[in-house]
Amino acid sequence: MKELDDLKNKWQSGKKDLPSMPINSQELIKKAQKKKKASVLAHYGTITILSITLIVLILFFTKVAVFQETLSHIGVALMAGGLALRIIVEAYSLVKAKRISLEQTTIENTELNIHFYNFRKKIHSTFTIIIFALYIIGFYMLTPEFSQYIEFNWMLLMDGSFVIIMLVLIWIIRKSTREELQHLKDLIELKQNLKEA
Amino acid sequence: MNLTTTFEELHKQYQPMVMQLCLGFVKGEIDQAKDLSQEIFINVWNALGKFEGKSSYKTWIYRISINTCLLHIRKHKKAINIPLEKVSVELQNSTEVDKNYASLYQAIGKLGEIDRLTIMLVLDELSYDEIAEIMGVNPTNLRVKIHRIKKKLKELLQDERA
Repeated sequence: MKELDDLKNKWQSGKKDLPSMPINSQELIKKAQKKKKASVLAHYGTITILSITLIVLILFFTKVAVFQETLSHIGVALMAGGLALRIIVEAYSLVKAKRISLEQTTIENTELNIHFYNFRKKIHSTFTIIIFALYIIGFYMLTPEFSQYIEFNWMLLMDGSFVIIMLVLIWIIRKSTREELQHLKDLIELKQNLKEA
Repeated sequence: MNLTTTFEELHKQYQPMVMQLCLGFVKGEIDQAKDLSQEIFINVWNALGKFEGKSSYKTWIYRISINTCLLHIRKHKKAINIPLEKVSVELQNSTEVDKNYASLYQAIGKLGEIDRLTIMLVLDELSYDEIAEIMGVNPTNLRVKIHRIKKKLKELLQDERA
């Protein structure tokens, strides 16, 4: 195939005329170290923030504003349980993500990514709904006792802002879910492409 | 030899190979190819401490390069999908060297992602076994696939000349 041979020659000779890289090895190492730090922060950041929130929530309701009614206690338990479940799911997701490496073969990397995004799909379709339900139900179980100590206007403001926060969270999660589902679709297509002869 | 020295040598030796793969992958868009090439070497550095020597550095870097390219396309899908007409105009307006490779990038750019990466490994004169090792695919299937890609590429080149 003469065309391919010509193309091969052109490809090989093209290596000599390539545009130079804008940065040298030392600068690349510095960038790589920064990226690694950012990646560690991103990985553990969510879990750390959620864990701190859980601790603050428990401390607040057991030391600062101790509830008297059983309904409120159940409410706190549901909210804390929802958060704890979210932390467990995030930690498990991190363990799964760590199994994926760029050093793997293309097919291995694609299959592990498909496995990961399938797991994320399961999380979004079941766990996220359960976690949201626990948190919302728990919060509203606190309101009867709250209303005994807080004025109506403040209650209205608290309930209103809770609804807004939940709506924003749902919007953010829906957006990232759509992106992840698209990744899954692309990866499945890629795997089919890799396997076909 | 320490990690920094190893990395400097790898960067020096394999930078042209990676850059050319990136150029072919992003259909000749130089700035995107530079960014992608940089991303690959950042990933190489971050993985270097774990390199076990089970394969050659070349195979290992190719694996990281291909996985990074595929990850990059998922992350920047809209930006990567540059219309070929735009690439053509950019290449015509570009330097003399780039003009010489316009047909090469355009023909490769018309192939699918996996076909594009596979044919670039062929053009880089890797053996079928090496390509199968990098991609983790069945060598027999790969031979058939490469035959099909070559045929498709031939048609694309003929179309461009017509």
